[in-house]
Amino acid sequence: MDTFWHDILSYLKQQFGSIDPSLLLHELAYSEKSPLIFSSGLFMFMFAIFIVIYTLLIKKSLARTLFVVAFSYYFYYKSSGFYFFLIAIVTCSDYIIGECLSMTRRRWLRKLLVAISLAVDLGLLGYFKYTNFFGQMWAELSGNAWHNLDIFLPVGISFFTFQSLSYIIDVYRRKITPVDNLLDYAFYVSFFPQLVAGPIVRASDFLPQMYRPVCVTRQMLGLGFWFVLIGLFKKAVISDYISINFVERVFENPIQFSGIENLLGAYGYGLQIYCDFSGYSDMAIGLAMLMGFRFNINFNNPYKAVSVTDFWRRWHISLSTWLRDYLYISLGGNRKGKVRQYINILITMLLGGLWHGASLNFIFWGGLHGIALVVHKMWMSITRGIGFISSRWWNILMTVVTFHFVIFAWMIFRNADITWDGLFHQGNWGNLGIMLSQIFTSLHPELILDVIGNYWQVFALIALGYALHFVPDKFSQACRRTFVKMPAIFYAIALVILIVIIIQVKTSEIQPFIYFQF
Amino acid sequence: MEKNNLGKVVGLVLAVVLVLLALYWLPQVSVGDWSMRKVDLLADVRNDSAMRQLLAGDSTLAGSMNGDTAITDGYQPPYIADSPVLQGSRLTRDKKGRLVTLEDSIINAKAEVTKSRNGVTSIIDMSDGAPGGMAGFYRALAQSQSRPVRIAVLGDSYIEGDIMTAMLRQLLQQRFGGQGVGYVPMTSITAGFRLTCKHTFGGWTQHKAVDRAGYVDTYNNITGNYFNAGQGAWVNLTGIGTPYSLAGTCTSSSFYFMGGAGSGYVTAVVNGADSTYFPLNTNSVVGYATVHGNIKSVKWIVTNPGNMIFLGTSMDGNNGVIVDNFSLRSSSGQHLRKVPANIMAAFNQARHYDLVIIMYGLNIAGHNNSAYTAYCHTVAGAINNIKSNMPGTSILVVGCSDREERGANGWRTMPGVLGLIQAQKRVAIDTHVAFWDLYSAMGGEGSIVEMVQRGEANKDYTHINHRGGNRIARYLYDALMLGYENR
Repeated sequence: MDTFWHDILSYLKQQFGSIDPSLLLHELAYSEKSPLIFSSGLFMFMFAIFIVIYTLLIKKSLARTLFVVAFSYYFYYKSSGFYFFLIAIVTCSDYIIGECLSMTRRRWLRKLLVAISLAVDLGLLGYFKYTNFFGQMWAELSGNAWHNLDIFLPVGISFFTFQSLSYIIDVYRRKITPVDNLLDYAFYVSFFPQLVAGPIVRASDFLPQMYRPVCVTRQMLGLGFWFVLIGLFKKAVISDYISINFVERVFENPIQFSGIENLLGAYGYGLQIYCDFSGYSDMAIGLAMLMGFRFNINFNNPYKAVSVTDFWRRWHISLSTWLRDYLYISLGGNRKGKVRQYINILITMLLGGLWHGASLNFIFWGGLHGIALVVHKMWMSITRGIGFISSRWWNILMTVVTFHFVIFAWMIFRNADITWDGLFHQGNWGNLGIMLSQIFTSLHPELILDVIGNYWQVFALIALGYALHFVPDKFSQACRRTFVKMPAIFYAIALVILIVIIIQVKTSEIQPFIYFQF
Repeated sequence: MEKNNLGKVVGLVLAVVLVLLALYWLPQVSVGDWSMRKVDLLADVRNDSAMRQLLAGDSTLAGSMNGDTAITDGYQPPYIADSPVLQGSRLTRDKKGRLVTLEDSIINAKAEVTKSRNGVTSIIDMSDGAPGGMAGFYRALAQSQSRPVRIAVLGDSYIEGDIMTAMLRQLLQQRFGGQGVGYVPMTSITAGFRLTCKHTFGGWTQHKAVDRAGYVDTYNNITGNYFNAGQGAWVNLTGIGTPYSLAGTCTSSSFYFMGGAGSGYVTAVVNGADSTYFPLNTNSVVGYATVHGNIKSVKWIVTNPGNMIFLGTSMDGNNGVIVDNFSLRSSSGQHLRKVPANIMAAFNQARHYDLVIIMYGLNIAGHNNSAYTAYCHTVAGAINNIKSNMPGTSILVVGCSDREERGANGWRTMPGVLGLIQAQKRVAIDTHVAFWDLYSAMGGEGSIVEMVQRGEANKDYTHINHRGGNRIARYLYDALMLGYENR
């Protein structure tokens, strides 16, 4: 028996002896290059430790809240270093403003308080995200010089500021009552599943759940694992693989690729951005569910949309509804006549575009979607006037048209090298121009079989991704129900298998670069 | 109230973590070519990862590389000062104490060892002062105040769109004077990508040496391109000036065509105003028309071209340095060997090159260390062709750049690249020309991965972009200047 234990011990020492404590500390410290993302091995370990302590504290509400806040701040520190103080600033200022709002009925004072909250939240967002952008724009318009300031962009600042604003505006609109204490508010703002990449969870959805005892129902257990699995598959298998092996290369240097490769690259990017973004949201939703919190879905098969309006009901729903409720409606929405409504839509979408990043391509992207939404609104009023009823085939045609419009808009979204100067003085559209000219003047459709044959793994995944996206809703819901009904151990088995697959994909040899365009 | 399943969450999450940890001890599974990657969740905190050593630039690794060859060991390194010293075969000792020829020690030298103390990777001149070595170019540079010094950079997609050459030109023109972007073919698929000039065109039919059909050897020339023109075919070059300031304007522009007596003519429109007409005939194999002035933009328009063959146009200065970028996507330089002697000589008479830089390889470097005999034969043929038809021109072979692939243990340079670099050194030694180890200058293994991370190279881990090109241009410029200072 002794030798048995001795063997085991020496074996463990041999295997784990190579672990270097200094490397371990290094991994746990902030590093700009390695934020803590859900699909990493480190996060899995941390979540395992987290969930054990979280469960032990189930009956101790205060201690549990403190623990979750501390973990969330650490989670943020891992991505953005000491900038976690920004969350603290937003939390404290909006907590105090919320308290003040509940204490006064004077309209001017309430408006002033909201204005202060907007100034603090948008001021931070503006300073960290847009200073250099607007500085450069001012320089170009005025002919002065602008030297970029060395400003770090804290991860997720766009998300937690918007989340906190929703609280203040809802309190102002008397839709919710303020939280009981600062710690509760800190819990809401910093809750780590949605902290850095959404969804933007409304205070009105979140706060009531916070004050209920933690309970993970059997259905939530199944759904939680389902969302984590789906999200991991989308993010770590489909998105990561197709981006490194094909899509990124095309977008980085489109001139090296034939028109057909550029076109396939654009379709690939449509899937990549969807899988990346929605996959991350799915994981956030799943993790929150395993902790007893329900978030609304953030993506609902957006490429099935039959119109741009429909697309925005399905894409990044937490952002589009946020923009609708707090920006579009604040601007007047559709209450001030058609023309004002169209202008409001355009303003909302331009700012919505800018929210995605501080560069022109995002503004153009938002603007283009805004114009499309307005055109669709006009179209709707015309067709309603003449009593047009859409048929099934018409809807399929419109889905194809909408999909291609969205893909075209993604091409603008992805190409950050568009400049004012290039556009208006040199007629230079950067890589976007090159991609379009390759697609429309140098398509070389005869290469398609060569391209697909040589990158077959990439295109098999793209085909699989789109196929899964377009399966009928009834079918995917049936799959989900079946999964949830499976014995719980099955969830763990599925997760292990998926993670092993992810490890295979992550370290697989990348597809070598091949020329098709001679 | 429904039963709380939080305990189950804990159980399942712990089970997943434990099973994954246990999978570390799973034996390696292989099916055919495919072998399963080790499931090692702790890889990032283990101290034995080969990838980590590479990424961290492990000092012991670099140390062993330095000690790998006897060149640093007592022997005055012949190439540090870039002096032509190779006379026959000198003997030296390798790290195991065996006697090897100096050539072999150069060929087998690993990355980093050709770096001098100030970090510049030196040019190794194997000419022993004979024509073809760097001496002629350095002499020309010293006279750059009174005449133009021209450099032809022959390469593949690595430098297309004026990548690398744009900055090399800028640096050389800053130091030695000179203006303009040099030679530009009539059309280019990467015209929109160029940052040194706005290149627009219309009415041309391109023939490329890499095309299987449609490229006739009788018109084969070092640019690897020739064109037929339709009536009114035109090409326009407009200087941009940022970020490469000196390429923005020029004092002359030329228009090149293959000789013969045609009835057509070509019109040069300078700065959108002055038109000058030139007949399209010449007694030489390569003919050209030239306009002078303070040129910011120039448009050449062909009238009645008939069946004449056209090559390209240029923006040049009267003195200082001119760098011509001749990039030919997917080429390995095979066409250079077969350029007819009279065309090669006539082109050189028209533009007169002091230095030809030969920069190919990525299109031939395979996954494994295959024999590069055929390739060496081709490059040697090309160099000899250049040597005999461009007498006195210096020739510099640039070794293949870093290209990486990802395997189970992370990124590594494709083995074929290392084999190719050795073959390229061998060619330079055999043909008595100069060699520059780009792979070493970039930083050897892991360098393209770092460039990708810095946004200087594409994610194919092969090609660089303009920013990466600027970096590489500085390395090459430093090497050229080191040689120039020690000439």
